[in-house]
Formats: sequence, C-alpha cells, structure tokens
Amino acid sequence: MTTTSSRSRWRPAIYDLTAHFEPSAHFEYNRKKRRQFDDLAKRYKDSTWMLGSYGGKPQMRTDLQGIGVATRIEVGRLAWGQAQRQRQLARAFDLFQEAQKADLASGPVQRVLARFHRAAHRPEERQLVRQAWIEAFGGEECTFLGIDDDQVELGQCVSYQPLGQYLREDGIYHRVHRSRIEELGRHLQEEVGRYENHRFFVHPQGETEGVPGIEFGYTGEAADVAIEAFVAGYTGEKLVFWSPEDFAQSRSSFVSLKDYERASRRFGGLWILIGDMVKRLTAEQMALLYLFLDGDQRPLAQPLSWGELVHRQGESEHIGRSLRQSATYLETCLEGLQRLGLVFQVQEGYALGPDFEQVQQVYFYPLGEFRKRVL
Amino acid sequence: MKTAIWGRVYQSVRPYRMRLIVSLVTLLALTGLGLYAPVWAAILIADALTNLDRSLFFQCILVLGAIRLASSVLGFVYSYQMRVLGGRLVFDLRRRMYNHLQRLSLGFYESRSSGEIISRMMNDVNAISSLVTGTALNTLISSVKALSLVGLLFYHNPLVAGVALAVLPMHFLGYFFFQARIGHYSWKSSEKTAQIYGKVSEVLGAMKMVKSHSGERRENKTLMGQLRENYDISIHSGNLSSIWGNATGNISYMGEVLVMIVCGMAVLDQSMDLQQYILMMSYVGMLYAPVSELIGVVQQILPAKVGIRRVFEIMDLEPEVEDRPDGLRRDIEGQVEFINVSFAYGQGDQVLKDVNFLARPGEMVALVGPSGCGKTTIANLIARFYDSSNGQISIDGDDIQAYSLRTLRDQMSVVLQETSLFRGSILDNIRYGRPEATIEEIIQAARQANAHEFINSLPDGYMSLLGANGTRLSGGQRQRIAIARALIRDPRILILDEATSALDTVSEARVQEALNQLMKDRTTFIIAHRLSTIKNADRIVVLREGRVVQVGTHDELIEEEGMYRQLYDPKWAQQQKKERDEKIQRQIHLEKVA
Repeated sequence: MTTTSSRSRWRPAIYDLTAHFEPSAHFEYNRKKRRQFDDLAKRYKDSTWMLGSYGGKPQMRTDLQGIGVATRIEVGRLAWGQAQRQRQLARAFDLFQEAQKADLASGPVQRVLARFHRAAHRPEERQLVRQAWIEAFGGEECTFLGIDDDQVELGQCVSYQPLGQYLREDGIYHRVHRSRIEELGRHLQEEVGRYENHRFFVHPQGETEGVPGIEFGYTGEAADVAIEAFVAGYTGEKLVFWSPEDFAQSRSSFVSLKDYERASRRFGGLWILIGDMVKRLTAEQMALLYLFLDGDQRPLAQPLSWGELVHRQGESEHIGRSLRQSATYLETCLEGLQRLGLVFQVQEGYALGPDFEQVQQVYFYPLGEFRKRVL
Repeated sequence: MKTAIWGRVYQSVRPYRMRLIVSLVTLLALTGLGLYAPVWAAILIADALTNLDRSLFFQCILVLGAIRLASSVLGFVYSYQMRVLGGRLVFDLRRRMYNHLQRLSLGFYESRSSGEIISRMMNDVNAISSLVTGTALNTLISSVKALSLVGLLFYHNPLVAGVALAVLPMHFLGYFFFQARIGHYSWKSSEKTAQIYGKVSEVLGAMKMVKSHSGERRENKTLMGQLRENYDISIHSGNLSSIWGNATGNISYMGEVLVMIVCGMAVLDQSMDLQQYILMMSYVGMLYAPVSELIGVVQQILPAKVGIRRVFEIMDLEPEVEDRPDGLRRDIEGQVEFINVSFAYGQGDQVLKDVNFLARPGEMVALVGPSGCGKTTIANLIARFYDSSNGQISIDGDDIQAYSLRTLRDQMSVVLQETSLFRGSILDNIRYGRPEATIEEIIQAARQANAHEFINSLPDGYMSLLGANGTRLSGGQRQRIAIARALIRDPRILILDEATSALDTVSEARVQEALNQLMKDRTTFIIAHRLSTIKNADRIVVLREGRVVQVGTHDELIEEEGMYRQLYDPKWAQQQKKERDEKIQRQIHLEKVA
C-alpha cells in the first residue's frame, strides 16, 4: 500500500487547463494584444516535455460566438511530485486572472476546464485542483461537472436540499408556491424602475398542514411603504422588510426567487451533487428512483430483484403510462443510475447506495454565471 | 470508444471489402516485388560484376526490369482501386449524413450554425476516406514489410538484426511525446475551419443587414482574425509534424550508421562477405522506411480521427422527435386538443405550463399574448417540431406522437413571417408544397393566394427566377407565394405564425384576402398581434407567461377585464393601471397619516 502511494506521489501528472472568457462584440485580438499576451505567456511558461495536449507555454485562442468573439487560454502543466501539483495548478489559475485583469481576454472568466487522466474518477486529484483554485481565487469554493472521463468543468453550485427530500417534497421547496413566485417575479420585472435598489427574496417558513410555508421579503437601505403597498396591490403578497444587517446575518435562511423556482420544479431533470461532482439526473431516471422508495417515500431496506422492479414499474404512477411495461426503459435507466452511483447491484438485486441520503439537489453554475447570480 | 470508432469505420468500408481485398493483394504483391529487387541487385554487384559473368549480368538486368514493369502495372491497379474506394466512401458517408440531417429535429438546427454543419459534411467526411485509402492499407503493408524485414535480418544475421532494432524504442518514445499535441492541433484546426464556414455563411446570408450597418470593415476584421488564427494553428501543427518527422529520420539514420559500423567491422574482419554486406545494408535501409512510413501514417491518422469523431458526433445524434415506424397513417379531420401540456426547451425555464384548449375541425383559433408568452411554442408543438415535456396533445382524439411524422406534416401547412423561397422559378417554389401538382393546380393556388396577377405581370410569368430569398419580390408578394405553396398542399391544419406582421396595410389586406381563402374549412391556428387579423377567430386563446389565462371570442373577451382587453384596448388598460396606482397611493397616504 505504502509502495503504491509513494509511487503515485512521484508519478508525473499532466494537466491541460482551459479558461473560456465571456464573449464581447467589441473585442479585438490585435497585434498589440498578441504581443502583450506573449510577454505574459513567457512569464508563465513551463515545459511539459511535449506531454499532454497543450504546451507549457500558454496560448490564447478565440472562438466566434454569435457576433461576439470569446477568448480562450490553454495551458499545460507537468508536475513531477505531488507537492508540486497544487502550486503548478495555482500558477495556471493565476495566469487566467492576470490575463483578465490586464484586459487581454475578451471578458471575465466564464468557464474553466481541467483535463487529466481519469479526472472524473479521481477525487484526490480533483481535491488538488480545488485547493489550487481556492488559493488562486481567494477562497472561492468550487465543484466539478464531469464532461467526460478525462475532463471536468469547474463551477459553483447552490445546494437546495437532499435528493430524498426532493423526491418526498417535504423540504422547504414546494410546488404549491410556484405560481405565487412566478406572479411576484413577473410583477417585479414589469415594474423594474419602481423597485430598483431593493432585493427581493423568499424566506421559507415551517410547515403549515404538511406544506412548508413561505414569506416574501426584501432588503435595501430602508423599508419602503410604497414598495410594500404596490406589491400587495398588484400581486396580493405581503412583503417583510429585512435590514441589510439582519439580512447579512441570516443570509443562509433566504432563497432567491429564481432558486426557489428552480428547486421546486417538478419537470425535467435535476442537478445532483455526489461528493464534489455535479451530475445530471434525467426525469426518466428520477421516475425510476421512486421504485426504491416505500409508501412514505423513504428508501427501502431490502434490495429489489429484477422481477420486483418490473412489478413496481408496472404500477408506478411516477412513470409514464407508455413506459410502465418497457424493459428497455428499466434497463437503460437502471444502468444510468448505477453509473451515477445512486443504485448498486447487491447479489441478485438492486438497492440505493448507502450514501443516497447525502446526495444533494443542487443547481450548477459555470463560474461566469455564478458571478451574475443575484439573490 | 476507440474500438467503436474503428469498428464504425470498418462498417462504412464493409460494402467495399472485395475492392479492399484486391487492393491489399496488389499492395502485398508490390511489397514482395520491392523486397525481391535488392536480392537481384546484390547478385548483380557481388556475383555478376565481381566474377565478370556476362550472362548473369544480363539476367539480373532483365529480372530487375521485369520487377519494375510489374510494379508499375500493380501500382496503377492499386491506385485505381483506392480512387474508387475513396470516392464511394465519401459519397456514401455524405449521403448517410445528409439523410440523417434531414431526420434531426429543429432543436439541432437552432443550436448550430449551418456553416459548421456544412464543414462537417464536406471536410470531415474526407477524413474517413483518406484514412482508409491513404493510411489504413499503408499501415498494414508497412507493418508486414517491417516484420518481414526483421525476419529476413534475423535469418541472415541475428547480431545485425539486434543492432538494427535497438533504435526502435526511440520511435515509440517519439509517438508517446507527439501524438496528443498533434491530435489537439488537428481538432483545433477542424473547429476553426468550421467556425470560419459558419461565419462566412452567416455574414453572406445577412449581407443586407451588414451593409446597412456599415459592418463590412468589422466583419472583415473578424474574419481576418479567424483566418490568421487558422494559419497559426496550421503552421504550428506543421512544425510539430515536421519536428517529429525529422526526429524519426535521424533515429533511423542513427540505426543505419550503427549497422554500417557493425557490418563494416565484420567485412574488415572477413567474417562477412561483400554480397552479404550489400544485402544487409539494403534490408536495414528498407526496414527504417516502413517505420518512418508508420510514423507518417500516425501523423495522418491523428487528424483523420478528429474528422471521424466529428462526423459520427452528428450521426450519433438521435432526433428529439421520434418518428414511430408503426405510426398512424390516415387522413385527419383536424381536431386538436391540448391537455395539461407543459414544455421547456432543454433544461431551461418552462415555456408552457398546463396549457388546455380545444380546436374543433374547421375552426379558426387565434393565439394571442405578449411576446415570449409561448404562442410560437404552441405552433411548434402542433407541427411536432418538438414534443411536449408533460401532458398530451391529441389530433382527432389520438396522441400526436402516435401519428407518423410524414402523415402529420403532409396534412399540415405552416406560413411564417419570414418567407423562405428557394433559388428557382416561381412555379417550382409553389410546387415545392406538392411536387406532383399540375400547372392548373398551381395557377389555381396562386389565384386563391392573390398572387396570380402579379406573377403574370412579371416578364417570365411563372417561370420567373427568384434569388436565394426571392429578393426581387416585395415582402407581400413573397408572402403570397408562400401562401400559394401552403394552399397547394390542401392541408387539414394550418398554422399562420405572424404571417402578415411584417406587411404594410395594403399588402396585408391582399394577403389577408388570400389567407381567408386558405383558412376555409381547415383548422387554423393564427398567431398575430393585429386585432384585424384575429377578431374573426372562432376562439381566441390568451396566453401569459406560458399559461392560458382567457379563452373566448373577441366580443366576449373585450368585455372582460383581463389580459385580452389590456392588449387590445390600451386606453382601458392605462386607465385601469392609473386607477389602481392611485388607489395604492391613497392607501399609502392613509397609512402614513395613521
């Protein structure tokens, strides 16, 4: 064991890193910028011994995105020892920041991709990337989205609730409030001028007769009677004012309108966070998860055999009528759930993984989008 | 994945396997002849010339001449087979890809530029052909050649063979170092080419807009930047290949020098004769050639692999809208019902939420609401450009997904605000709606569409040629041709999506007349903002943020205090808002006083 780990500690690792910057219709990658970037690239040059897809000298490329031009910086990093890896990676992230600050890129960082051998299956290596990211970007946490086996995207996610809670719909997010949230959101958009300088949010409350309650709040310099009256007059909703200090203090108990809307959706798939990896659970796979839950929507203690699964599938109200008898549907979705690590094969049957309760329903934001997110 | 790619390349080549076998046999024969020639060259130098054997000398010349002649003939046969095989492969793949592109749903085309798709179909498809014709057989032959030579060397002199093989690991190291980088550059080059195609096709398609905004210089600059980048990429990639090629050559040369030293020493020690020396040197020289060829092949395979991936990436896409092979094929009456239909584009926001309404056969249903409320999405769902996320759409009581797509769309016509007319005659453009239509039927459709008069006034009448977008015609005229094209199909369901929005009042009146003809006895869905277009509808469905908020006739809805009246009675809407605001202000005042 010791031999293996010491060997892996000294095994050279190659990382190919790409930063995509936001596109701009006015960005010109002219000779001056090329020269400036070349100077910057020379400072960050570090040989990769021809290994990996990217060279050790950073390269700036452009992509056409509609009428805009988006820049992309590619750089390879070769690290011989474990200790070096984090430093090497942090240096590459520093480069991205410097290019952005020096106005060489088309805009702020939008996406960052890291490619290394079996990236999606190596949590320790991802931890290094994460640490390097935190080091370079000053404490900003990040999670990973698997692009393929060897490539992950760095991003940030907002955690809503455990997946089990989503399936049971007994968390703070409930579909019954969706129309109220939509109504308020629509009104705020229609009357932007009236509500500027204020931020609006949802303050989830405790349960009222099995359904969680919500309260709408707003914050700004001072409470505004007109705002409260107009919102009440147009939407019938009562707003509660939170001073900026109180708001900051209880920040974690508020949810943006958009996040509440996303978290309470009962259509389409979901982003879920398993460990540090964000994965996509499709609507079909989600419907199949219900087969592993009992009447109270709690995980079954016993594994289910194929026959039992087929039986439950045929009777499930969560699965579309046309799919209830489809063995292909069962097979492919089960395979997908196994790949996601939610379902495991136990002897002759299938069961939810032991960490099922830890899986979170989240929303994944690429780095650029997270910055624009408003609570 | 790797196996999958090569397996699929084989599947593409499979129909031509006989041709491939013939090519392979020819190539093997060519290789054999190539290996046989040095034997006679060595006899010529070491035996015939050294022993002054005139008859052996001429015999050698004759044999060498015959080998050369046979090689030429076989070479021609081989290259002919390869040309045919390459041509057929490109033809087949483009045909399959084009067929597949036609099957893909609208969502695919909305997410990609046409230039990028063209680039994949025209450039990347070539990669498979060049891989099979230019590289696959060469790889095989070079490998066979190299192995045979290694065998021959071991047979003649194991020591020399060992020395010759000593440098081979260095070739593998070269491959290890260069392959990822060259592969990446190939990918970048293909992507950049596709982007350039996309940009050029987008700009050429919007030339009027570019010129009207004096955007020529800006577009030039953007494209120059892209071309320059493409140039940089190709130079860089070329440099890498060249460095690798040179390194390969030098490694081989090093091997030859080593063998030369070992064999030379043996000749000097008289443990090897001159004939053997010449033979050994020839074989060693020939051994490195296939190795270099193999390296060269790898250099070609890397970009080819990129091309193949890009082609299969498209071929692997499944249409979002599934066409059931056992779908219903029958005439429809035109009853359309939405039952709790919800829809979201991809993973985005919900565009339609629990939409319910019924359109009876022959009814005219208007969909109204503010921009972005989901009107066009409803039209897209009726035409089955997309499938709903939840709920059911039924046609004559059967689920829309139960119908075969062809049956459904054959009995449906869509007239959009932007009219697409193909380059060709007016006659052909109208006939596009129903290729088997007779001239009389076309004229009849044009009459009904109020287009016959202006078509006849053109110098070439129905044979007048139109530009790619019918630029010689006015918006109203183009729209009437589009209506004639829709009419000739005699559809049961008709969708008019802002068909008259872009027209002036006079043109609109003419087009409206044509539309009134078109709508007779058909279920019509009309999306429009103008009151004149919708007020005669049998049913008006008012949408807001993806929900149906009102349903009724114009007379009913205009009396109700709701969204419809807000849209079409602005004075009333303003008054309402004013009164409401004043009420709230009064309330605020009272509260302040209190």
